Amino acid sequence: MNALKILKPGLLTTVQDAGRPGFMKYGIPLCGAMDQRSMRAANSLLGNALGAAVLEITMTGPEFVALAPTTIAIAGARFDVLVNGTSTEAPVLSLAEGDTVRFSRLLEGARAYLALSGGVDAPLVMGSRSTYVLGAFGGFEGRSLRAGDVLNAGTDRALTSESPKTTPLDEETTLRVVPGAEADQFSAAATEHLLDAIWNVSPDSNRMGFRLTGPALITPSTGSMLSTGLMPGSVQLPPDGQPIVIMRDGQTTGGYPRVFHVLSEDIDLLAQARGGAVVRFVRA
Amino acid sequence: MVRRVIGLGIWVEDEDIAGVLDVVPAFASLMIHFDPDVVEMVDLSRLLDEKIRSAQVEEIESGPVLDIPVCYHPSAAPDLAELARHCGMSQEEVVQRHSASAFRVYMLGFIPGFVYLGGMDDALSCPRRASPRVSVPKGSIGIAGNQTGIYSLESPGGWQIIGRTPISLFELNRDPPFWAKHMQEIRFTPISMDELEGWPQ
Repeated sequence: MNALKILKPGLLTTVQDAGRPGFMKYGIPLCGAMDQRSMRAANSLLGNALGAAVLEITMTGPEFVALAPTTIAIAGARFDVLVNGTSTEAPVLSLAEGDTVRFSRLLEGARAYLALSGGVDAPLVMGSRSTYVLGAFGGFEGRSLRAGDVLNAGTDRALTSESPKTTPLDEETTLRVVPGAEADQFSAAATEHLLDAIWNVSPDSNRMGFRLTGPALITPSTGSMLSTGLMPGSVQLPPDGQPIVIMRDGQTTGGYPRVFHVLSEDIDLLAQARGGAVVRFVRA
Repeated sequence: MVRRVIGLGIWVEDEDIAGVLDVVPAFASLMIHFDPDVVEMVDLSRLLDEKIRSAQVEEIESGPVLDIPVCYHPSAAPDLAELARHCGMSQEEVVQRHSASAFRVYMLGFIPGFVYLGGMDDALSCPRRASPRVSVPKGSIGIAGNQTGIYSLESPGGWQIIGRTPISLFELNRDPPFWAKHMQEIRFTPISMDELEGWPQ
């Protein structure tokens, strides 16, 4: 059933779900919502399967019109949301045909998740409806949404009821880490340096990876090694000493030493950090 | 080594261990992505240790030799001249040596369908470009160190580009979508610029 028509797409609005595991050996990243916790929270508000496809809204929100009576839920980053021009803070909105919804100012966090009752309908590609923009497949025609796109609701209902917690939206992000596979390439002093430093999210961070900028090590690793597997949460340290945290659409292999690994739960926190935000690493 | 890694990866997949989500073989390492709520790391480690100690290597069905047409014309090979200079040989000799090597697929990764090939003539070894390109065309054949790689999609990249193939390594709507398998043997056959441009898709 036709549910929503996009009037303005926002900066990067894509269909995402729980991800696309099982194909990394071919170079297909895990894919899926950057903040899985908020995706689940939005779905649970509507009784959807927790991993049902949602819209991931990045930094600048969309504007859309309901083409039929539709219930939506919003979780994750906080936007000033207007329904027919009136601001609302309700997480669940029952829309009548013709109602318009506009995501206005971003108040907190970086990524909001919009669930549709029954999930956003999109074809399953390698077991997932998530959009992988670099590979130009999945989600809505393998791309981010544009004005005029019409989204349909699916039938992805929950089998169990569960109320997941939402992701905290703090000014500063603390990521719990365990040692990475190449942690022993770094001296104790180097590791302490990385744990003590205050890092900033680089503005060119995206769904592939978050680059962190901060004080470089005085004696960096030589950085020459055979490529190894990467997954979301892997923290690579290139010779310039600026860590890269692999995210959901990240490359599946890489040749820089993996100094840390971020706990899966905490990747959700990083997904809500904007360019310039402060990030710290702590031992899990 | 790479044969043992790939064999171990195949074994892990065939065992169908509950909780194992993804298996990524690389040159000298195997990454296993698992759900710790379903399978404990210690149990998984024990299984793997036993298998590795048994030193049995799985059969790898690598399929027939794949013949990949490559255009080494300078307009499809922006780094050929530089690589020839670095290796101290003529461009013709680079092409001759490259197309005479018997390659094997050592790894797929980085981006969907990108293949890392071992078995190149060592005389063609060359470091990556000092500064990566923002965009490398799909099908580009590159050299980094003693490996050859094929760009399956247009993407950023720092490998020395010495040719281009019209073959598409990754096509979502093809079965299977990935053209090459782990350990498959690959040979390159030179084609002209006209053949590259007129290659039937």
